[in-house]
Amino acid sequence: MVGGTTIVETELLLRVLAFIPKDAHLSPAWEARSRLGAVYGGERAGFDEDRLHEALETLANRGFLERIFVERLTTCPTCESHAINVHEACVTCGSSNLKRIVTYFHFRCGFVGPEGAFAKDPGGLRCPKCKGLLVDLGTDHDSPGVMFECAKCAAMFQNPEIGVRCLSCGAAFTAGAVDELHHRDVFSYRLTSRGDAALARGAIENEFA
Amino acid sequence: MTELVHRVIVTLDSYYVWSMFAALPRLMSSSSLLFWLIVYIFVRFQFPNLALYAGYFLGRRWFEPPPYKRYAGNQPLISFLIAGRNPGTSIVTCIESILRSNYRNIEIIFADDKSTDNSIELARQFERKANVRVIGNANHSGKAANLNLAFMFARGEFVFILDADSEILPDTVDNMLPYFEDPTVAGVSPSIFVRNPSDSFLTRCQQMEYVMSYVMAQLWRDRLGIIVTLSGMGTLFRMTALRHIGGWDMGLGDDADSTIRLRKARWKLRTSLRAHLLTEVPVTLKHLTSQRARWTRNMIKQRVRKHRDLGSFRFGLVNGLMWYDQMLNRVIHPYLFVGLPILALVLFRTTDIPVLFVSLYGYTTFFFALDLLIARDMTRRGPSLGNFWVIPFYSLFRIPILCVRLTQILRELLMIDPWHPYVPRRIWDAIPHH
Ligand SMILES: [Zn+2]
Ligand SMILES: [Zn+2]
Ligand SMILES: [Zn+2]
Repeated sequence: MVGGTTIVETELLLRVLAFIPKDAHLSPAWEARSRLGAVYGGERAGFDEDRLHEALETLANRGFLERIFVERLTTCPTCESHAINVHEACVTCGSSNLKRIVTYFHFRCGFVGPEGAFAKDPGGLRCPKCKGLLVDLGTDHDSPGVMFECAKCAAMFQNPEIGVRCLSCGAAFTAGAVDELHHRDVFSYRLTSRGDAALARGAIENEFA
Repeated sequence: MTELVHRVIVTLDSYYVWSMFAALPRLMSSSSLLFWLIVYIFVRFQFPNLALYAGYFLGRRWFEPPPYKRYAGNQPLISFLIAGRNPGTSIVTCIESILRSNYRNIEIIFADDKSTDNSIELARQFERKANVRVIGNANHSGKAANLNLAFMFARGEFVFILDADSEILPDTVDNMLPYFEDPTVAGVSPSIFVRNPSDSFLTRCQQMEYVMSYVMAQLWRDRLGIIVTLSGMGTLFRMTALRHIGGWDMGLGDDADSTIRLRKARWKLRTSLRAHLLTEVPVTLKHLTSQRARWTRNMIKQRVRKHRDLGSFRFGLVNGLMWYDQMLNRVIHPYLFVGLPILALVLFRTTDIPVLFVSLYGYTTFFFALDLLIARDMTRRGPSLGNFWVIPFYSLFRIPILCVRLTQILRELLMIDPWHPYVPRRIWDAIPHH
């Protein structure tokens, strides 16, 4: 585009420069249905959002605008959509059908089991191994921690995998999914002195001219 | 000069060496009490070994694993359970040894007893790569509690308990599983060898001690059906048997107690000569004595207190006899060994005492060396001949252990400081003590 800007494009870039609030940022608003996941409110000024974003990036590349980092979005490695769903997944089969399990450890007999293994009794929980009562957490029993059980394959584990499903293209990722995901940064934009000058002059000159 | 050397040799040869072997029979014939004591010691300690050797040379196949039937070509899932607190890099060696096993249908569960070092991170690096689960206990709870925690996650038909300081060999599981073709077998222990014999004089001695006291003694106990302990360093259990006894109890150490409870429930226990396991033993005297103090106190807690009902023969003749043998061997013998020289002092002229000592020393050293040579042949992994130089000094290693036993048996019987940090205090206080 550098050096070969058409008249139509130059006109669009000038209109976009004029759209940037004076002495302020043009900030994005989150919008799940948009292609980028965020919009810059171009519709009320008659801009197509995609073309507006393209123009903002062009102006930033050419030094008329400054980018201010807002957030890094995670996107689908297959289709680049930001409409991805992150969930806890089974370490064995990848299913997201997990049950959280509170575990208890009974001091006097050593039994460790899920909450469901203890019978509910008016006085507390009743230990299936020694039939004793668990009355006071910390004095006669404690909890080794919260664990997960997979409803699909019955595997039990403490640290679930992270699973990802792309709601746009349907792709699913489990083992090592987090390392595979792509990212896209979202910015606010602000006029630079060069942008101010161009706006005052009403002309965008080629930066290498 | 040559005359002096000659005189020394003649003196040693004609007096010390010969009289060393001759003195004992001579002294034995002079007192019937001493005679029967020596005969008793021989029968209890050397006879089982001799019978074992005879059995080995007559029928080696008795010592090989039985043939596969059900489990031929059908590998049941084995859950490896490791419970540890601050094992450090040992946990990596341990897990890697399991992953190198020829046996493939496995899962590994490491319950970390709230380690204060980076053990849990070291173990977690395996979680993505293999069928390894790392469970970090939210509280420091002791080994038995963490075995139970890991046990809760186990899905195998069999459960292999492995110490973080131990490692298995590629064929260890293959040499244990066939014993479970007998559906009444609850657990099979491997032959346990020292991994770090060259670390110190003490570890060299422990290498010899393990071969005789754990491998060979376990073998003749296996033949007699009186295995008392399936070692916590490593043992393969049948899941249903462990479920049957409700896992591990608290406050008594983990292995002998669960073994005795399996015995009481009339399960059969075996050991495998061909399944080998390597374990790291204490290098310094301080660590060795504190380990043995713990073992001794747990031994008294289990045998004298919790499981004294075995002595009533309520759980059968064999279990009853085994209990009386344990009382003699583990509780009374240490005092007998100290009492014997004192008794001799009363019975004989004082000049005979050094002769008696030298004689006993000569006999025990000679037989011990012989035992070790045979054990090397039987196990194919005994101490190397290069380590045999410690044999004459082996008694030096036994002295601190004997001292620990003598004091700790008394302290435990008299209930002096019964708590050991092996179990955290808050839990100890909630356990009913027998
Ligand atoms: Zn209980
Ligand atoms: Zn699953
Ligand atoms: Zn996608």
